[in-house]
Amino acid sequence: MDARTADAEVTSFFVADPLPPCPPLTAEERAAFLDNYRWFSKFPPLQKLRIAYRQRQVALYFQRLSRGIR
Amino acid sequence: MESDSGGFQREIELLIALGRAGVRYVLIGRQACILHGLPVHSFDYDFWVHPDPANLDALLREADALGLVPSVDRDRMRSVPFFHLENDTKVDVWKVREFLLATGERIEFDEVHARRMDLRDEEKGLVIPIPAIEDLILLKRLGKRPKDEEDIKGLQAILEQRRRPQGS
Repeated sequence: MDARTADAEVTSFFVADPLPPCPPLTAEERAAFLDNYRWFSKFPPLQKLRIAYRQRQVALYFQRLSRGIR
Repeated sequence: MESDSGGFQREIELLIALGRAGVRYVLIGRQACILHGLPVHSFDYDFWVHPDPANLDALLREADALGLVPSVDRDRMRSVPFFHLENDTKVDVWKVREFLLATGERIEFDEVHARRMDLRDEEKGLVIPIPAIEDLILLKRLGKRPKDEEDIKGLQAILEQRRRPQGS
């Protein structure tokens, strides 16, 4: 799958899927998704959402931890 | 832990377990960039582990306990520099003593590990070893993707900011 097709897929998937609590991906998150497309694409839709949401939570937690070293 | 870790307990459990087992590794890649304060995002984790067999065994034991499956079997693992650990978490594992830059410069695990920073969350018993920012910049030079260049610029800006005297 080329990057443009993958980008279209992830955009439509995350924007169209109404399941909370994962709002549409940011540009940064979308790029991260594309980097790992082969691994990520094998999961069913609900699990994709859970994974995406979990990674967002990890990033937020890591951001909080990073404040300790500034 | 689910309630106070925002639903990402598996990742945190893995990092806690590695710390408790004394696995010699550093978290590199974009997750380390985030921990240094760079506003980026990643879906996977990059570990640089010391390739000593006992160290690797300890890593695999903890990964197995959390259901993470290696991408290569144990026999093949001895001869490859890199493999994945996967379930619905993805970890890229580099098991080399050193990286060699195109300039001929060597980045040695023991030196990077000795200069590492340990980020802690005492409440969770979590310790995350990450390279010093100067070493992370060097490691980012191994990648040749546009995003690696962007990360290097961002890390250099953070480094300059840290070196600036406070109040200036």
